[in-house]
Amino acid sequence: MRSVDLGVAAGLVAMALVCALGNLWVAAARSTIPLSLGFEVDGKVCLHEKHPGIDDTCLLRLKDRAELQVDKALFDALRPGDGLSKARFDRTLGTSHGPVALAWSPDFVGLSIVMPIAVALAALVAWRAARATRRARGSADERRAG
Amino acid sequence: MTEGAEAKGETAGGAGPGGDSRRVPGPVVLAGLAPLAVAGLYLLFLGHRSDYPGHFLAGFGATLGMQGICLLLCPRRLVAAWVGPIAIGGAIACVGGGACLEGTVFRYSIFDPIDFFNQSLGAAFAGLAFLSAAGAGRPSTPVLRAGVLLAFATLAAGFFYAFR
Repeated sequence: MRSVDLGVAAGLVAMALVCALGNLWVAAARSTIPLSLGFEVDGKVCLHEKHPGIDDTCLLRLKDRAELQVDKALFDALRPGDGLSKARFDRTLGTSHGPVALAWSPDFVGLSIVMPIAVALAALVAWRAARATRRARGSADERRAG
Repeated sequence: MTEGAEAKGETAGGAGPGGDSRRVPGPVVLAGLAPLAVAGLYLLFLGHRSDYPGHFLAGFGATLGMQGICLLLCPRRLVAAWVGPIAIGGAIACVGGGACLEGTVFRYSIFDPIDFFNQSLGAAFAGLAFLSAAGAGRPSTPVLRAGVLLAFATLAAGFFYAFR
């Protein structure tokens, strides 16, 4: 495999890695566990997607007009007017009506198993492709030289 | 493989010149089975979210199909030189196209970054599959047929799982 194709294979594995990390970060952030929070909930809205009740988009509207997408369990535990506060990686969210325990969502748990395997498979495919192509091109060069 | 076929830039899709052009080489089989294995893992560990493997498979199938069309349009003598650009450029173009579709046609509530990342992950696997099949030159007919079948089947399965 020429160095340019090796770069392409490495680039595609890097793309897979970025997508896997992006998936994990977005799913983790919806639990708010990795976030540092300090704001008041102005309102909340649950928008339906393709599968109502399964892939709903649960949004908290904040006082500064920003929106934060959270897991359904957390969405149900909060009320408009709640003041929220927590430090990064705290497993408890302080609210105006008492602490709320935070947990990783089933989505994050599942993705944390699937994503590392997917990236490892992508790396394996890239390595096998690189090895096979190098051999094939080496044979072709030998035939031409012979 | 005949000398004529080699002169046209044909190989057995990774088996290399002189390989048996009637069979699909191991690295190509691995590259085709890997995304199916990932889709199986999605269903096993995220069975409640069938839209995740749906987006992954649709991203894989659409990208592989687009790269296949580029390969067919590419002059034979340029295949070896263009494989890399088609693999990475096609994947990036399909990631961009997927982002546009996710933000417009398939936008039900908000732009969902997880849907986008899943379909982009599929595009990366398609780029690797394309590189495995065409890295040494124009793939053999069985590899091309298997690629077309895989692209259509995964695209259809992707829509099935995303919308069922």
